[in-house]
Amino acid sequence: MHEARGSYRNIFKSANATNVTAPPSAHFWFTELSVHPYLRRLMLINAHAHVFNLQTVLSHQAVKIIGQRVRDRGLPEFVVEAVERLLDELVARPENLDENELLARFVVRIASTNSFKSFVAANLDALPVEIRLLGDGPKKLGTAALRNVLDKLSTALGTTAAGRSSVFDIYETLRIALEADIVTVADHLLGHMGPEDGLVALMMDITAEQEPKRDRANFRAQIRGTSDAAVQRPGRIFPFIAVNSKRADHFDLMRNALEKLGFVGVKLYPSLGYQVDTEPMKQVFDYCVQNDVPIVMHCTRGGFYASQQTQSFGDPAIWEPILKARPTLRICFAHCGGEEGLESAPGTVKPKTWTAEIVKLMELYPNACMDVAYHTGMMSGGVVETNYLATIQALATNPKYQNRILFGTDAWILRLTMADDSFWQYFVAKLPAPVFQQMAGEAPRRFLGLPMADGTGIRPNMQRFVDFIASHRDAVGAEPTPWLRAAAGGTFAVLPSIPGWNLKNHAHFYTYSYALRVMTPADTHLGFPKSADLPLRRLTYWIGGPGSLGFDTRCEGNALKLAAFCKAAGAVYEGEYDDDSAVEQFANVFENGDTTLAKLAATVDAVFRFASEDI
Amino acid sequence: MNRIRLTTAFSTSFLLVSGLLGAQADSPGECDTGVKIAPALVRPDSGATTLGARFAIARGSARAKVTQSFARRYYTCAEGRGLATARPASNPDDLKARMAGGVLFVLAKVVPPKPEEPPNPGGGFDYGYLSVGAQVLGEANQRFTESLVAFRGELIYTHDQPELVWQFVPHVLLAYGLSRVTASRLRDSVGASDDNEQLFDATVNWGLSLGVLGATGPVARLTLIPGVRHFEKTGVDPRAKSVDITSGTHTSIMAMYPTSLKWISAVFAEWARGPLPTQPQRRRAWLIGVVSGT
Repeated sequence: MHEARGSYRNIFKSANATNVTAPPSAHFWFTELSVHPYLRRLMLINAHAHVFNLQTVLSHQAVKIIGQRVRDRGLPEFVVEAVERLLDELVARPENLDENELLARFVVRIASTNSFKSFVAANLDALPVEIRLLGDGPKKLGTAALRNVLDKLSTALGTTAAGRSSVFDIYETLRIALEADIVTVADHLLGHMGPEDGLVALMMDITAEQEPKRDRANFRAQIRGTSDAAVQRPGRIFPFIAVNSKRADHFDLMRNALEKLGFVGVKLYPSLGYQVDTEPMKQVFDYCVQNDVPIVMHCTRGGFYASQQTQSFGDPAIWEPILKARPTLRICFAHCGGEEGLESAPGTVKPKTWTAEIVKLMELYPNACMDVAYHTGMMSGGVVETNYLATIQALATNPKYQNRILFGTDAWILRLTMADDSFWQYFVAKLPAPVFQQMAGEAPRRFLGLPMADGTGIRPNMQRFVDFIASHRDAVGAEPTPWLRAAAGGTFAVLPSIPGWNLKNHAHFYTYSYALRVMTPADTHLGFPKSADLPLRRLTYWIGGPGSLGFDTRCEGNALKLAAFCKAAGAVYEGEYDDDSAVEQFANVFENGDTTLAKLAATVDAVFRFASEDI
Repeated sequence: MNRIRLTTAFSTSFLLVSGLLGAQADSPGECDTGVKIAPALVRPDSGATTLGARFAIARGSARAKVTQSFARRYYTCAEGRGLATARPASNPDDLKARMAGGVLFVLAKVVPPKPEEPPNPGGGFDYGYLSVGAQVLGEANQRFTESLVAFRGELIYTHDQPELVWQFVPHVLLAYGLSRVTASRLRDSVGASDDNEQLFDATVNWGLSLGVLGATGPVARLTLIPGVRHFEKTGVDPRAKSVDITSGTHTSIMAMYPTSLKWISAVFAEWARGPLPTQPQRRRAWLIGVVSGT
């Protein structure tokens, strides 16, 4: 039996053992799970998460929307400006920043804003010396000093109340979101969960109509990366394709993703600027009913939005006629319409709120659900918390809504406020174990269409998912979860993947192929998987190293040849990259012998877009 | 990026601690934009041991043109570098400032594999790299009692193919140009003139990777770098010849072994003998050291 790694699991056990008198049904979960062959323990599912990386949504339009989101978190303008500048630069010239580079750049961007200088000038006496010095202009500081500055700034701004964001939260969010590939982002979230737990990976489509070429490429990269993540972590990641009717080919993209790329559901985000009661969207809903595909819809006035007007596009009242015409549609109204609907009185939903509207729909339609993603306001405690918890429990234990209140965190976007595992810990600690088990276990299992413990009851959308993963059974990235292994049958070949090192990624394929031109015979025998960590100083161009005759020439020459190699393979420059900047970027990498081949490949991936990225 | 090579010198060597910055002092071609400083402990042939620092301040720019069959890069560079010591009289090295420009040609055509194939180096041809440039160089000792300016052209040929035959093809630097002494106590002492002179400088070396030569196991990572440098000065006032040399050949061989250590990327041992244009005394030296950083 696997031991749970996540700290919330320990709380979970202790809550079950000491604080809660579990009803018979809950007792069943634990005793029954110990005998089932593949569910020796309950599989918990985060029904609302995001694993896309920012590189796959970045456009000038997206930067504005993200900046607005940061502004809405109550952060001062210089932080918003720093985030926008940083992301704008990455839109122009995508790069893979490691933790230190990101930290340094973030602090420098903050320090170089006029609003920060004004802030320092206005609060000179109250600020610690590190912040005052930074107010004189950007400084070149070491990692420890930069972290210290960020910590001091977070403290000075005093935005650590529950539901608010600190500067440090923003940095941590960027750190996860700017990972080079989607599997690495997913691993951030899966890391604190049990080895058989899963998450729903909701895509995001901030379509950039004014930048069609970039937008198209980014979106396809996100689809491909999310699909690949499902193969790399088989049985743990359930991808939902984002549908945005502003995108002309949204229907074809959706159908392709659901039928051929392992996607199990559809994600809607109307506040990004499209209405759901339109003919194109009705076509989407009809398809979902016919093919038994669940939908998750962003349903709160908060979050990302294109304008104040579009904030109301997620109003659940709009769904009454849609669901009336399609009563079997599986839909989850994410965020319960906003946590404020659950906080006004104990055990009662506040009338005339989006939450009340959702509850009304749930009474009428058996496949309508809601989730608690990004509910953090009540964590401050007091009556609001008491009311919230009582209402959630009342809903979850009411037979009318049982198994339709889903647990979700909204990670990694949640990191704007708190860490994902802290969110888990809160709910595990505050809810009775049977209630939490239902919200994170049975409810998402039913919503997603996963099989029951005896292997029966799998829904068509999930059967397609199983078939898709099984079609990659010769090279999955990790051991499939027991439920998937049982559903797919047969055997799987696990080729442990190194994040950011995958032959299906043409940037990696061509980087490795290029490196074979300058690799010693002994190192060519390493093969692709083991070459990820090969330091560049082991390549033949390095002989003698810096200072040796022709070293700079060989570094520059390899940079030129690698660029030519990629261009000949059909790659085109990302963003504002051109021959000059691409060669400069590569030359900098070649000059550093500690750099690994995987890091060089990540740079190639950032600089070039390959035709294969179009799905 | 801080590149520092620490060496421990024996015998008649002139530096206890040297650095890659120093080794790059005569490097032609492009320069690495930025500021680098490498502290050093210096023990000259004569005079007291002293503390110093190698430094390099550079700014460069480049324009690249990349096609499958023709890749090149034009560069310009302005740079100051050298060794400064607490006791200028003990400084065996010099200070340099240069402005350079040139073009790097890739003598290759790369043909990538098709994505449906297994990874492979692809096709095309590869004959290495050729860099052609020119520079105006100012050079002086730390007390500015010896100084010169020079204008010279330079050509570098280098390559990095892993095939065995390429191990025996040398890497070459050829430089030729005019120089003019702007200050020289040494020459003043014999009443020599400071008319224009010509300096021809040729360096060839080989990078012999034992791995490419067929060795297996850990020894395959060992690299041997034998090298020869020859210089010829012409147009030198005959009176100056008694205090300076007009030609010389410097030979060396270095063995370098990369490590997996965090702070030491390689260890090396080097043997060298012969004069250099800026160090007319004939020397022999053993050096062993470590390379820190990259």
